Amino acid sequence: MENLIKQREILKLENITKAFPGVLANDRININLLEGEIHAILGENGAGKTTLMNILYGLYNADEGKIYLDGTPIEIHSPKDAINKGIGMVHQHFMLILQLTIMENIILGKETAKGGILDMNSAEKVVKQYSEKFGLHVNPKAKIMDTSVGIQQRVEILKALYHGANILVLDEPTSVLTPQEVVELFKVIKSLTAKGMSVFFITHKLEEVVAISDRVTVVRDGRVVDTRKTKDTNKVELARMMVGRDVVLTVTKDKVEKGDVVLNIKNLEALDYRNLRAINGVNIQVREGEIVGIAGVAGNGQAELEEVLSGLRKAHKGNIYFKDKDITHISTRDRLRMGISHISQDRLGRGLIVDFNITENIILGDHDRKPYANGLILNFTSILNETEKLIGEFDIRTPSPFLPVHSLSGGNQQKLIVAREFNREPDLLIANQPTRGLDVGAIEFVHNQLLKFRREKKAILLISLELEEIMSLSDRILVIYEGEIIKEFKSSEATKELVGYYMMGGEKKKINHEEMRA
Amino acid sequence: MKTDIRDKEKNIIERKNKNKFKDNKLSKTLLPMLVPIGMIFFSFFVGAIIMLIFGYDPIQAYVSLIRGAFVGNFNITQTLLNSVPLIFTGLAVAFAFRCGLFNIGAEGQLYLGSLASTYIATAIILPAILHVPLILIAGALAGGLWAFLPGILKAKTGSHEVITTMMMSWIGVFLSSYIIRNILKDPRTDLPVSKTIYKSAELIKIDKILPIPALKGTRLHIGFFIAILTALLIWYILKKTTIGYEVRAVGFNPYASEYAGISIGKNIILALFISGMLAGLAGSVEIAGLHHKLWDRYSAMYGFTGIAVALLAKNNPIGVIFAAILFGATQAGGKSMQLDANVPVDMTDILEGIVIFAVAAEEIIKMFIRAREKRRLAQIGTT
Repeated sequence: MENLIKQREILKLENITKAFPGVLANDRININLLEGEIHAILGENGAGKTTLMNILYGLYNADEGKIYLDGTPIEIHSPKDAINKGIGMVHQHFMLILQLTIMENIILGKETAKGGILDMNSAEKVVKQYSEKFGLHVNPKAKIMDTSVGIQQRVEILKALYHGANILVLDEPTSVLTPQEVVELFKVIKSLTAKGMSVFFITHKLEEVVAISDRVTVVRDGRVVDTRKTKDTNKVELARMMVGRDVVLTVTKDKVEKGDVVLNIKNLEALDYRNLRAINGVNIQVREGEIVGIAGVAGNGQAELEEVLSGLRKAHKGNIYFKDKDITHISTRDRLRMGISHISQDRLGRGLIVDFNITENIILGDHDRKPYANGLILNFTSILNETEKLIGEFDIRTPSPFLPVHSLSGGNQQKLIVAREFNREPDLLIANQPTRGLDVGAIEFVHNQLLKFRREKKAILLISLELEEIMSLSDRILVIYEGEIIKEFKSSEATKELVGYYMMGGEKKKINHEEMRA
Repeated sequence: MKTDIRDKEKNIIERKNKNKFKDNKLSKTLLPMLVPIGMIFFSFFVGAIIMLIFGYDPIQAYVSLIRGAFVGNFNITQTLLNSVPLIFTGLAVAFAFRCGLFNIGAEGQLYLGSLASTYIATAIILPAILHVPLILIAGALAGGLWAFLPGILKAKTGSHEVITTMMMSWIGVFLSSYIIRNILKDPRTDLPVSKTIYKSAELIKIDKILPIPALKGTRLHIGFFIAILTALLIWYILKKTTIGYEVRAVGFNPYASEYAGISIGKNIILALFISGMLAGLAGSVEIAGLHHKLWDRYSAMYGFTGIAVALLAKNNPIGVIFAAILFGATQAGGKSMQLDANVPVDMTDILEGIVIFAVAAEEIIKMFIRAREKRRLAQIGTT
């Protein structure tokens, strides 16, 4: 990319401003996109990245500002306008129809037809043609619901290309992918730009910016902090620009002596909601002062494991021991009382009652015992004292402890959950995706809390889809695949590639495939 | 220009925050009341238009309605008497609502309460100090049982309480018909009515204990105070006790409650049981305070009007008192509206209907606002 200066400016966003009631989401944003470049837009959650791209895609109208395509000002009032102008977008959540086939999804909105009758033969031809041209291989006749997330993303990209996009907006495209799928995606993006496409790559992950982009624009609080050539900057600088202060990117783990076994899972089996086996003979031990990480692609039994451990799902077979006591058939409430805390991956669904205020959420689960209640009567003085103490200790940013939790930001909601769960003074913490959807600053906070907990010689079972997180925090890493622990690593032995290989099934998958062939 | 927008935006945010978090007690208590009051005025306005269309004089109608409801000792006490069962059934519906449950079977629970109270009040003689509490407890338990069964069904099998409370309600209504005509029947008459209850089971008239000249000779009984005390008690339970906390938690988010070790099933059963007890009390108090005998099908749809009362009160127990008095007043005033202004008494049903529509419409509008808010938050990624 030595000749960046010579590259043609294909798109320019000038002074884009967009206010929502109570928030200025975009404040005079200027960004330009060069032909054939991968331009990363980096920012925390709520920084205004997605709003900006939604304006470009016509989902919102900007209050102020202009958009230039090839130097001429254009008006975009709807996604249809955007598509007609050659702008395609792949959303974080895919917009595909599960029951239809890949080619049906791709041609939707611009169907191949002969005299009003759908022409599926030429549809198949066209789809094949596109997938070969851009190296995006798919089976046109497969139904979307039978395909993996990675393939679905490919279909989204193909769809945009088929509809004539030469500018592609990818909104957090890696959040749902495995490490291997990310590598594949990056290859695809590079091959697209090699063919002259231009790409906006929205992300909050620093590694991805460094790995793939030509230039990067950092957005904070709705404003552009700066635009840099990626090779002229580095992760530390980008993180500082993104958060507005110095961020410690690598966590430092102290050496902690491991103690007795706190959680001992023996031959555990559990069924999912369809009564199919979701967990299949799992054995896990977690000791005092230890973080055990469960790595895996989503949907391999993590959700069921969390539910069985917290007492919401029955164990089909096997036993769970907590400090040598069999808790397999003990209720959720009793497990909480024994000293097992949990952080759910579903913050708003499981973790909080969003219509309750902060004080009411702080006491959730401990609401019927001291100091929050005397018998049946709630003690509001000590509830308020405790809440204010925790708001201070865990730096929950709120103007009042009586604010309904739905008006807190995601990061502050998670801080509230962490505060509540640690305040129970548990001996074991089950954390399922504790940093899901959080920005760098909040992730740093949660990670530090987990490590502090570990220093206090408590046990943590960490389930996460973020391999980085697992690798940096865990003492041991277990890989879960189709409900089985198929591999164990010491943290010193684990590499991203190796763990990623096992997340995809490792040898087990190979064997299965051979069986299928035979 | 551009800085203007930012400043304006900031101002708006600051002002909003100030308003939101100002601990202004007055605005805190008045604001939520303004909306329902506006709804009532709106409903009367629409009612006026309807009357005009059908050739009635709305001003005359409303004047006689208000006179019939509030002017004169007899009229006022009639309004308050009407409100007594509505406070109980309104509380019943509101309490279940707080747990996310729609108890539409209060009518049947009311009849069960009436039956149990009438039985105790006609079968045994006790000193009043024991007899009155006993019939209230019996009525509450019978009504509670009638809602407890749908609660069990919901908790154990997931069957929807709207269906089961409704079905139980009709069973209750016809069961009480049968029992009144065959078991509790007054042998001295052919009418479908029970024996008269013993004096010791009657609730005292207020003019017997309070020397207020205006109440002299009126039928207003202490059941009105029992209703208000019950409303305060329910408010206290919901706000200040762990029972209320759990009920509300399950109502707002059963999944998070379950995750925090709160039993969904237990709270569903408990909430419906308490709801049924309140509806049962409506029946007990009507029998012991006003009618002193149980007529077949005596309830003027109190169980169903309770739904409207709870809706208008936004499920707030204190609000229920005022909403019940309002509905009691339109019912009392409706009769004089018919006599003085020649407007059919059915007009009051229409008015009640419009009030419910207005309240429901407000909820629908709010739902849209909330959905938009959610979408907005999702877009800027703060959820």
